[in-house]
Amino acid sequence: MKFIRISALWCSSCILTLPIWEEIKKEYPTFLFEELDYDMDETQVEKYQIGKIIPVIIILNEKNIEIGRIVGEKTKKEMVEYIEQLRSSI
Amino acid sequence: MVYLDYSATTPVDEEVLKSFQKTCLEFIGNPNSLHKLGIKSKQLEESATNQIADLMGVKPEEIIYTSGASESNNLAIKGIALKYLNRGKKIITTNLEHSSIYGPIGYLQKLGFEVEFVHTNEHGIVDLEHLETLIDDDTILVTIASVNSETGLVQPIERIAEMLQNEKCFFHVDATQSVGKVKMNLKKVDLVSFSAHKFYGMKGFGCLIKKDYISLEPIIHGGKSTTKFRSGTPALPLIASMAKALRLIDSNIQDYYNHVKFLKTKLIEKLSTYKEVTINSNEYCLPHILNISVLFAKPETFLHALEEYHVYISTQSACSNSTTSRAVLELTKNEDCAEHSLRISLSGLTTNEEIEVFLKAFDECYYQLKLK
Repeated sequence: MKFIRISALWCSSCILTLPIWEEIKKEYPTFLFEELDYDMDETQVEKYQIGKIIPVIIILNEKNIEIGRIVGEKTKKEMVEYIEQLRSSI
Repeated sequence: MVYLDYSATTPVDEEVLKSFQKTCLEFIGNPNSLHKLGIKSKQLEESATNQIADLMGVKPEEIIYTSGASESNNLAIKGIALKYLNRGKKIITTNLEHSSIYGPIGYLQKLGFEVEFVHTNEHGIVDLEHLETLIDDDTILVTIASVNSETGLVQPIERIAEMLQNEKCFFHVDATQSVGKVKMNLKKVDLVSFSAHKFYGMKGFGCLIKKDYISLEPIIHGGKSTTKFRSGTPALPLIASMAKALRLIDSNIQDYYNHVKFLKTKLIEKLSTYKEVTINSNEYCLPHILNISVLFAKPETFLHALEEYHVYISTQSACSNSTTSRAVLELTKNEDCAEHSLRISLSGLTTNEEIEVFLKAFDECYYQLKLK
């Protein structure tokens, strides 16, 4: 699976959840992780049509097809549960 | 036209504009030039800076001119973090800040700094006990806005400053929404940001007050001009006009405060009668800002409906672009209110007649949109 996190420097929820993202990166070493900036990577961000709520984590399968997304401020527990649910459904 | 978006920006005062124009035309020399014209400009720069310092209760050498509050906030946060890198890496802030606070904090977080958010109580006020528990040896900076731009919520800056007196960390206050609206004692605050256009001054100009015992890493390098902490030719017309704007607002501040308090009471009284309107600003908010929610309408839809009546208010702070207001959520703990918030911001220039026009337009928009 591949995870793409879209965030912005000025977004308080993004600042608040960055440490969780870093922990998740460590806990899932076999997954691929990418980060996009809401403002600076506008063209790449646009194709995911995320709306205005950030951070957003787009989850892709091995064929680069989106299989899920985590929108807004979530706890680590909520994120891990969602990831595990996706994993078990593949 | 009824302008009720004074927290976004204010129209420049004619006297301020005259001062700007006069300085542009009559003080053509660079204050750093050694000839007579330069000396004449330097004298004006010093005199204006002395006036600003006097009105703000600080020393002239503690004033750093910037392009506005966003730059001041960036300089304060990055400047402290990078200068005192070896002291610690923790920055503490709240959930009620402007994006120009989160921007540099987010940037520093990516460089390895740790960021902590202090809790607020049921009224949205910073929880001092929690703040105390967050401060440790690694903390280098606490940054808190004196007044939240969306709701008008006032933080107990003096108490926080008092509490931080014995800590080794610095205390920065983004006072953009309080300078010119309410007098605050900033004696024990280390760094203060503000912008001239919030009190009838010129746009594109602001200040960072940095107490003389602090050093900063500049973000604009290029040698000493007005100060070694921020390079660039002194913007003399903007400096002189800011001194003028501050003098004018200082003499009117209490009258304006009482005036807007009266108008806000009237607004709350009338708007509270609508079933699907919530008043989000509470008793801890400045009278200049009233945050409400029209629960059945998208904020931008309501804003544009009012615009048809030549009434201008705002949704969230002009620099934000998310659908939910974090500040309103913090204050009301209600998602619905946070998703539908509107900001009405008043000034000493707002008249009773304008409030009547606004209320009439509000009533018509409310029922038109409710029927849709």
